Amino acid sequence: MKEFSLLQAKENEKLVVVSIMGGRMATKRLADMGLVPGTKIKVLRKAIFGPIEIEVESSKLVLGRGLAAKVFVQHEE
Amino acid sequence: MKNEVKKLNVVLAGQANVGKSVIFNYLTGLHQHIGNWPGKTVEKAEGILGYKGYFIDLLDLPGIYSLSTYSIEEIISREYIAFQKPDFIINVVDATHLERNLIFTLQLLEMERSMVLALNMVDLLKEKGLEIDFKKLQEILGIPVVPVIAIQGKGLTKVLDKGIELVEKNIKPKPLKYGKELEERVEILISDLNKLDLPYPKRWVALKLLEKDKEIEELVKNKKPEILEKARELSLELEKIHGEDSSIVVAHERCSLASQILNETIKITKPKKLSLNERLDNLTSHKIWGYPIMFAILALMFVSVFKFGNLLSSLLENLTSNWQKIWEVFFGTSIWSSLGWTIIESTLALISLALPYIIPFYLFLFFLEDWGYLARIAFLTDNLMHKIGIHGKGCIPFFLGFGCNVPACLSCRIMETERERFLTAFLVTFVPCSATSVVIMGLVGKFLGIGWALLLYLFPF
Repeated sequence: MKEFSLLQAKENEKLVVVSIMGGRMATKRLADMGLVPGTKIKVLRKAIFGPIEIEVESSKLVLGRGLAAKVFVQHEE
Repeated sequence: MKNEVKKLNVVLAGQANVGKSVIFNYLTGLHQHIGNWPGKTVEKAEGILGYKGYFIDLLDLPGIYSLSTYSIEEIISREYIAFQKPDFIINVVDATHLERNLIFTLQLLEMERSMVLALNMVDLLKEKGLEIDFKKLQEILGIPVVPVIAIQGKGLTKVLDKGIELVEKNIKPKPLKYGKELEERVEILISDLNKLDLPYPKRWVALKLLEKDKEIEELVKNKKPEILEKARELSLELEKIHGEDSSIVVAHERCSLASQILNETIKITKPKKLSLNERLDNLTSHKIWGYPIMFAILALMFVSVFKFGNLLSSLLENLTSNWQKIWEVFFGTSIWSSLGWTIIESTLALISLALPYIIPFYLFLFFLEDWGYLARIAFLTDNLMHKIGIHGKGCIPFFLGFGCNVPACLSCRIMETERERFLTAFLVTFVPCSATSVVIMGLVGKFLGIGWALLLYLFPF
């Protein structure tokens, strides 16, 4: 399966987080909010001038584009 | 009745926008400003209440996502809990987003203080098609769980009852256990830490050492550098087993424990039907339609404030136009009388010129803020705001600035870094406030037309 950054994901795609290529701060911050490698997510929407909203289990997270570029995902089987 | 008054220190802790301030206001009768956007309470607020013979000192901590050292608020919060040793913590949790909130609850439990879980917004669960097994949750976490509806004040006294019960019986929660590999190493560290005198719970320090928390590392290094080295070794072992940074391993453990708890306590009762709220949210932050809607709302705001203000202003003017004659009938036309009239006239001018514009302005702002639309604007404009170097939520101070620059500057505290705070506060001063708007709309609008007035908004400098 090919990996790509969350930034390239399309709306309504179901994905699995493979890795987070960020500094320790960013990775830790995301983990505190429930986003770790292996988490299943769904892209809810991408605003043109705005961030990316994703669904993690039952809750929603909004990631800025800079942060989303560091999250690598692949399609769920 | 007992004569002595017993004092209790109680802390409200929870993630952003879960309703801590609502609970705080309800219990203390104070009017801490509440708003429908995360990060509004930045400094801690304190209030006192008497309850069943107790004198309760209630503290409203800012909303944070974890007890790490990501932001100043997080450091303040965890130091407060460790050093002030509150008698009990009320952990406010948004029941409709239990998953995200639970991770923070687990972190709070690690601090080993008495704690009550206030499960807020339980009235919205049904709407979302969720069902939570409160008893089971209470069993697993080992702390009282109280469902509450904060805006209606339901369940809040029960939260206090449970908390007082914990204090009277001196019950402290047991921290929950994580995975085996992690717990083994935590225990090794605890046995070493036992000889040290630390302000924090030992197990928590052990976990933070494995998480490579800078402040805790410093603390331990000053007391006994050998332990720090040992912790580094153990972290390395963990990293070898899991192939990730040890801080992520610990966070990962919390995550999986949280979702495990979630699986056991939460049931999705029916396929999710979109509520009116969610549908409105979908529309107002739609990736394309969100923008025209945003412009429409803003245009509506300015145009209607102008139209309404204009109407009201001329009505008031007509109403008071013959007052001068009445005044002269009574007091004549002496110097003193005309001086008196000048005072009245300028007051009337102020009322008829300024108030008709300011009042609808604040009404609009109030509704936009209360309905959470400001947070939607933050969502829509995040990327643009990043271009000028600030987070999307920087637009909240900008909008408040249309009302008055002073609270707008104050609200710049929601920005996370010093640099962003400075940038936002600086830019906010260029936003025309309602007093400026009065001049723009009342004078320019009146004499040159609304087109010119709106043009001024584009070039407010």
